[in-house]
Amino acid sequence: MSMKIGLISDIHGQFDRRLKTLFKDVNHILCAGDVGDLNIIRQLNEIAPTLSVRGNTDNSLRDILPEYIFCKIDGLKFFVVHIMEKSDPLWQELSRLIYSLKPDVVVYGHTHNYYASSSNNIIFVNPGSAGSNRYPIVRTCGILEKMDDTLLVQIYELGTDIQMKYWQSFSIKNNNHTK
Amino acid sequence: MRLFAIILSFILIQNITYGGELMSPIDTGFDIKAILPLLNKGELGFIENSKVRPKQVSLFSLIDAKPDKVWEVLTDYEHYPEIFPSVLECKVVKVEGDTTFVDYKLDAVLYSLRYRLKHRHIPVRSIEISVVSGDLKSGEYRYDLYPYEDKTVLIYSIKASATDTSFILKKIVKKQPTMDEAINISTAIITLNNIKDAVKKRAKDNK
Repeated sequence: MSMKIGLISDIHGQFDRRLKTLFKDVNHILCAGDVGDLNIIRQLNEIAPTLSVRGNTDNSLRDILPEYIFCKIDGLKFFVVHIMEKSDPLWQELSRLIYSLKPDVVVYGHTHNYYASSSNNIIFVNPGSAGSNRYPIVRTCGILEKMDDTLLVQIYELGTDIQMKYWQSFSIKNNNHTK
Repeated sequence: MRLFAIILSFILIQNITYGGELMSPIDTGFDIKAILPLLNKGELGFIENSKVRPKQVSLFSLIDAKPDKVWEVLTDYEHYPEIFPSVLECKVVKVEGDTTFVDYKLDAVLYSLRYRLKHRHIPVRSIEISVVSGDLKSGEYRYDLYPYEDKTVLIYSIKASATDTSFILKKIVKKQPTMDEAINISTAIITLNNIKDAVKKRAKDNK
């Protein structure tokens, strides 16, 4: 049986009700910050257990959300952080931490651009922004599906219709991070 | 938002039903050295891989004081009402070896909870906390202190569910049982921030 995780970030207080449909089969939701307000966390939790970090615009949620999350779901290790940029003053420490923790997947946000790639057996996923169109960038979110030795990352565009915009599969067969 | 934060603060040292031993994340092989530099920016939440609810949630936070100063605050039970806004009364009832039994009265919005916890001290390293009696049925908590330069990494771990606490939380969790981990993370953040503030205040008062 496959395990699905909803990936979302940069909601900025704008909950798209269609997420209830898109995420209806997910077992968990991971949110990479810039949530906007607490009501969003409540709404996401109505869909599935949600773990979220805070983003750089989440000052009002400092007592609610941590800066980083390291969690294990169904044997997969996840590291969640809002900003993963080389220009970040803590970039080197963050990279060192990630390669030390050896998560299977790093979920991040901030850029509002979706992205999925693998480096040193760690999959880096930015689901894009599911909130307002601050930039001329489409609103997106993602679903990660674990099927045997494969992780499938799907990015969905939250446009007039919801449609899959991008997908990529990653083999975790030789990934010795997962226990 | 404000109401939610208030509710979270009410479940400060409580929560219920657990299944399994509460362990320090360090004892489970978590490489604390790797996260130290990043804690200057904010807390790290660690959620265990378990299918049994409630899961263990641990929160790592950096406090700008040496472990003995943090320990002083953690074990100053008589002053807990000043440190934690939701604690109305706190009294040490007996000490047996390394274990201190403490009676609490906690503000739970429309009523108050009374319960006894036992705190096992391993000086300047950890405190293991469990429920003895009263309005709380069960729950496990622990503090772990880790020295880092002139600072302390304080780790607060919770293995409990909020289902038997205030009726508001009971309703929230009944409707959304999956909220447990989110609530425990927030509870841990609030707890650690309260301790951080108390340590800072004492340092200032002693100057």
